[in-house]
Amino acid sequence: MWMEINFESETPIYTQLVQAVMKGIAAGELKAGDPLPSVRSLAGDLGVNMLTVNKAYQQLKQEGFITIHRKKGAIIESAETRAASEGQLQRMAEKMYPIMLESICRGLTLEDFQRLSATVHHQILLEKE
Amino acid sequence: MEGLLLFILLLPAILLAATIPYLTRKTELFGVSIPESVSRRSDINRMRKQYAYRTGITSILLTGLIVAGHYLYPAYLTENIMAVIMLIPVVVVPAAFYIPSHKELKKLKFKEEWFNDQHTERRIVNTSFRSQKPVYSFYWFAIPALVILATALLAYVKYDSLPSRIPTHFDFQGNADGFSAKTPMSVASIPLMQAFLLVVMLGVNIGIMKAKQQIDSANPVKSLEQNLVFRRIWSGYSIITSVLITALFLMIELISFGMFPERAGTYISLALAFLMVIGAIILSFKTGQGGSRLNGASGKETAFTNKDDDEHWKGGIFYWNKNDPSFFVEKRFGIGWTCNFAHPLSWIVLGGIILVPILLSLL
Repeated sequence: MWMEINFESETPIYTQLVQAVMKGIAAGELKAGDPLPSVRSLAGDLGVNMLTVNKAYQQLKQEGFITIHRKKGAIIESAETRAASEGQLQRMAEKMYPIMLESICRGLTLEDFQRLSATVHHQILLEKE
Repeated sequence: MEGLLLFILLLPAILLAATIPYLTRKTELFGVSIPESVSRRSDINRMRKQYAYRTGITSILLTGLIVAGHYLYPAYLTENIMAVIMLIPVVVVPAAFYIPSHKELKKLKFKEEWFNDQHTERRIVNTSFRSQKPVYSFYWFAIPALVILATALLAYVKYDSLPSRIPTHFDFQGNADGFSAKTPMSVASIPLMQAFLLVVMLGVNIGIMKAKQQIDSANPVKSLEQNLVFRRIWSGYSIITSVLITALFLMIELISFGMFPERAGTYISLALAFLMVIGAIILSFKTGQGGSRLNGASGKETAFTNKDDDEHWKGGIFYWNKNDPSFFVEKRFGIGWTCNFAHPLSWIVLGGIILVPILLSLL
């Protein structure tokens, strides 16, 4: 799987890493049980501090997208474990709130917004190498 | 005779040193990272040509002078002194011409602001890189290991029947001109040296496998493919040279035990040395640094450029990056890898490589 990091972006590097892994899962490139590189080797390849990669892996683990085995390293979690819990659904709704605010303020109807969502949804699922 | 041989051996090495500017990755030159479009400019090409001619001609002339000096004054320019002086045309001269080229290119980069307007810098990596077999299996090293075992066994079996003084140094004609007292340590020094070199070659193979991924953002698929082949080629080279060097030492032991003709031994040693050097040079021209000269799978071109790493490359030659856990990274001006000098292991390895042979020779 390809990972692309932009050092000049406003998005912190660890967030870019989290999103890169999530994108891999979303596009089906990373399946349940697939390993991620070790913190050291990924940090080395990217040329970043190991703490940065570790932070990304920890966040992914907290969100339930990966698990970290002592020996095997980081592994992608199964679909069941990744399924949204009540709390996660609520947090997603909270993140959507500001976007929905802008949508309403700019006069988009619910259908307009759904169409926009569908575009983004397709974009993610179609973005394979 | 030996002067001519030395000349023949050095010529390809000088040729390689002089043409490095043509072998680097397209995004690097004289230790400076440059955009690919700049790499193709005629004024930049002129810089390459100048370096190649100046380095090549100066080095060859100097080598000729040294060889002539050896013929005229063999008492002063002994073999040992020659070995050191030969560093001048092969290392010092290229370095002397590199420094002004590096400075000039750096100044040009600053003046023309090559990277300042672009927001296209990305670092691209592939998470499955190391599962695609970048190096050959470590089991291949069982071959030299077995040779070492045979060498050690032979020494053990023959120890008692050896004379009390054994030849340990030979001149170019194959005549023994240096002897050592027979002790367990002096006899063991050959297998020990073999073992040390095997460890070094194993380390090289491990290093190539773990070396930092350096993928050209402009065409990641092609760059990845090229780099995998590049690593495999040099992994293979490290295995083959490991076998050859181990066998060479076995032959030296056989000679010092009187079990192998000295004359033939000299020729074989020279032939092997020549083979290994020429092999490395041919492979260097074939692969280019990072595999840049190999035909890679055609990949999709992106609009991205590589992240500018200049700040970590001191003088464009020495990599120093505390935040980078990598130990082995690709050289900027040359073929192969160099170490991250901010990594403490670099100093341990360098120290070991220098100290261990010295210690072994004192045995």
